[in-house]
Amino acid sequence: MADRSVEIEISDGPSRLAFFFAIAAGLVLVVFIAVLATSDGDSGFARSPLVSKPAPLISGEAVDGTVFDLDEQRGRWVVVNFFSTTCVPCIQEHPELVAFEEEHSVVGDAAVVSIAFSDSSRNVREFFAANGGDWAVLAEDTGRHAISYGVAAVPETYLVAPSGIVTSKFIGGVTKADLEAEIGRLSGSTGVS
Amino acid sequence: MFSRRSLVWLCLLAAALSALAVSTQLEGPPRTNEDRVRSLSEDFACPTCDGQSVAESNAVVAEEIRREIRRQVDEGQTDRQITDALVASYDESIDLRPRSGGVVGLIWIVPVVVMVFGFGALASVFRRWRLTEAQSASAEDVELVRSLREDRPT
Repeated sequence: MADRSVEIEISDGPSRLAFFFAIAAGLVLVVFIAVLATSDGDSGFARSPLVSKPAPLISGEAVDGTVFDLDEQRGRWVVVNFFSTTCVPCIQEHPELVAFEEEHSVVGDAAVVSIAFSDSSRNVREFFAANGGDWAVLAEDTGRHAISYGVAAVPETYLVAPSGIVTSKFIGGVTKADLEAEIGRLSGSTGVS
Repeated sequence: MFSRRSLVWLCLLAAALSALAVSTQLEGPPRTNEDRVRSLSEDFACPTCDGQSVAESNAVVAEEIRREIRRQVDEGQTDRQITDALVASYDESIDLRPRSGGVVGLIWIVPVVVMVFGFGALASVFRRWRLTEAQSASAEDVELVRSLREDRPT
């Protein structure tokens, strides 16, 4: 009988050890599942980490030969529009930007700057000649600007407050009403200026 | 303080941990700018693609990011500066490498913890096996077997 009790004690040790390690492995598995379940996945690109931060610098020669510098626009709202002459939503939103710029250039409280994404100066000149629009348009060496703003696909539009802080990002075509509603909301409720 | 066997196990554990630590440091920075651009491009996700890196994708934005990485490398920016700039623009989801901080940092810690526990488990099991051998060779067992053999009819 004494020998049998010894056998039971010996066989019980490893099984208890295995039990503890099974629990430990289970806990590790639960942690990994929790990490995966709470991660943002690919949807993170819909938001911009630039919002509430100083707008990245934009400076360079526009297609009309003038020099544009975003810093010189301090004191008024700036609509930074990334576009391409061949993208359909960009073509569709263009009249909205024209209407917005025509109205606000008179008052002087807002400006528009367009930055061509992977396009040519010639295409941009032809596009504006055909579709209207009288504001600074950058077309050469613009990749660095697009990347610094986190552009994934055009059209994308950023609204920069008179203080130089990025307040909003619009993905897809933007409208005059969208821009004015956002400026009104930020000017009125939060006093952004 | 430690038995000789324990010291052997501790040395084995220290050697394994040292090898792990050294292996993470062995991959120095690539030598040429071209190597650095290729290496960095593989570390970032294409923002408009599904599961492709900037290096793999032919999307316009991937080409622009590669060009921007090339420009920054040529300007003398470090890998960390280039990574920080892209993360600042696109957020952390563009960085395919697991970050060292936060919950994601567990990816680095868990394997080490599991390895330490693994060594502990092996040491524990080997120790039990040794105890088992000692108990199974008792004089009573030997006597019992001997008497049974003597009683067995031939």
